[in-house]
Amino acid sequence: MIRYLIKNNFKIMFRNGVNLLIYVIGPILISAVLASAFSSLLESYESAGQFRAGYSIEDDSSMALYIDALKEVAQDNGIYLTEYETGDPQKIIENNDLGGFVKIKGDSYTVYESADSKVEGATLEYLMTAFFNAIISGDTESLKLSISYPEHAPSVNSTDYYGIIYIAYFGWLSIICAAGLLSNEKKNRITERLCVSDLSSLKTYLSRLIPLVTSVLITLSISSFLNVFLLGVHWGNALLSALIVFVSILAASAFGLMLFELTQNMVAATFLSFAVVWTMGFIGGSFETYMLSSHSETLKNLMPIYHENRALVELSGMGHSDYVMSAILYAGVLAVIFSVISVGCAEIKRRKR
Amino acid sequence: MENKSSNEIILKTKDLTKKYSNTVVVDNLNIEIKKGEVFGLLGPNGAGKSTTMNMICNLIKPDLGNVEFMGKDFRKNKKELSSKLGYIPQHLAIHGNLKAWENVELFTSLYGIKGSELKSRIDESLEYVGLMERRNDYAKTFSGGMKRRLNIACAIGHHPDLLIFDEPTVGIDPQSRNFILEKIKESNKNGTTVIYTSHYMEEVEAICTRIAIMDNGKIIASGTSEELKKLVVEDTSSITLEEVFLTLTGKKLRDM
Repeated sequence: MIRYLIKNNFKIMFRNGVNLLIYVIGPILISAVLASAFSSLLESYESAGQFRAGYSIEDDSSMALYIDALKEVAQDNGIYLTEYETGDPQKIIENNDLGGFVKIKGDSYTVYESADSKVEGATLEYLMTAFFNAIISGDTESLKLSISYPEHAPSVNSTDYYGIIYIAYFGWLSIICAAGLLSNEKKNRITERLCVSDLSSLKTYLSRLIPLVTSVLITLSISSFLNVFLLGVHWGNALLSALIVFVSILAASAFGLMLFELTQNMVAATFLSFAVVWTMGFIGGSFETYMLSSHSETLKNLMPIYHENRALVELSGMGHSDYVMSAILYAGVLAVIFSVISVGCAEIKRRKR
Repeated sequence: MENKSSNEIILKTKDLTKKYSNTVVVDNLNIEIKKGEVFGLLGPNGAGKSTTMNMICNLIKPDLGNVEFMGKDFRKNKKELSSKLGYIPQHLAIHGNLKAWENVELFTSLYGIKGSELKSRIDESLEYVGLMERRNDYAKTFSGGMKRRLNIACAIGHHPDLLIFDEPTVGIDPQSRNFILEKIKESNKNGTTVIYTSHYMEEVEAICTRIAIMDNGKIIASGTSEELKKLVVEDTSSITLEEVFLTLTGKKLRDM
């Protein structure tokens, strides 16, 4: 009857006051500190607002015909275009405190932006793309644009970002919650008793995985609620976000248990788990926001935590995300792979014993 | 102790052998344990007692030979036979963060006992080891002797036919030790076969119906306490079991 084993293992995990403190208070404290530290950085993502931009255009450009229409559409969206006939675009931006610069040559254009005004630059680029598309379709007369929030930059402030990200990050460190149980089982050789009773490797594994996932889920749920009430964190779609976090905790718990099965050493398993999760977080936006990080998209996409972070943040900021499916599938597949490795290793050891 | 065992063999090891690197720890061991007896296994440190116990409990795979339990190969019939065996390890295999009853519930439930039956087995086991009044206390708050008793309670809830005690009285006070020995005798009177290992000769002499002395992986002598004494001197009243043990195994330190 594995349910009694699951129930009691859950009690052991849940009675560990240190774990509770780490999982309930930890995400709140860290997200509060980081949200405060990076608040000005992320404010720029709320909206570019109104700004000035420059442009230059060659006399023989086919775009000359449309320049008045472009200025009008830009103004409607809070971008005030001023012509600069000569000069280096970057210097013009610096000297005139512009949000960006468009150089139109022939039938093509180049958008310049400054490092300090990335959102303005992205907004200008979005305007130009939309306007060119309108020219191609011959519809400049009726062009209506709304470019307050470009699709790739969700409106999220630092409180929402770090409040969400650190729930995800702590979920990936779920091995901490199992540390008390696993080290006691090893220290007091409780596994021997389980072996004498002929408990199968799969049942032994499930008796650890199920309470571990449950206790991490409960503690992080409490932390999330406190985050909402104390810090005002906004989760976009609560149900979908909970599903993403749940599958990630499942993968993370399976990962931790696999490391323990392979090393048979709680310290080594915890250290390895922390090292891997830190690396994933470093690339996947747990420290530096994924929007501003300079890591390649390919590298970021390899990190399951990036899919989770991006899906949760976009759900919060935009109400939808193309990363929801990949976050769930990626974590789900990893959970299955890690579980198969864990149970397989335990079974091999059992047969050799 | 009076021998109330039958002639039916409950457990038998056949040429049981275990090697670690080039050292033979258990060497072609053949022992037979009769149903209803209290079988004592004595030996100095490194004699191979624990390895033998671990092979009997299926915790270690023998290199050669096998263990026959209730007439069947134990390894091949583990599923069917494991519920007939109770193992009380030398170490305290209990969870400090669980209450006494929860510890017993956890280990007893492993044998498929559930619901009201499980509840009554928990009470019965705790009553048996004298911990009923402390059933709701965490194991970590218990004294050494109480933890030892709880360790026993966790192994008896499923009513095994054979109980294996691996040095169950290490580090406890005389009262607790006496209590445990009395309970082992009581279990045996109720029909449970017992294998008992210890370094305390007086304990083994007090409760075991048959004793085997093991050294260098082999049984060097076996029989009742009287029979072992007679191997050394004619007048058994002038010698203790400890003197017999030292005569047979030597006085040289083993764990140097």
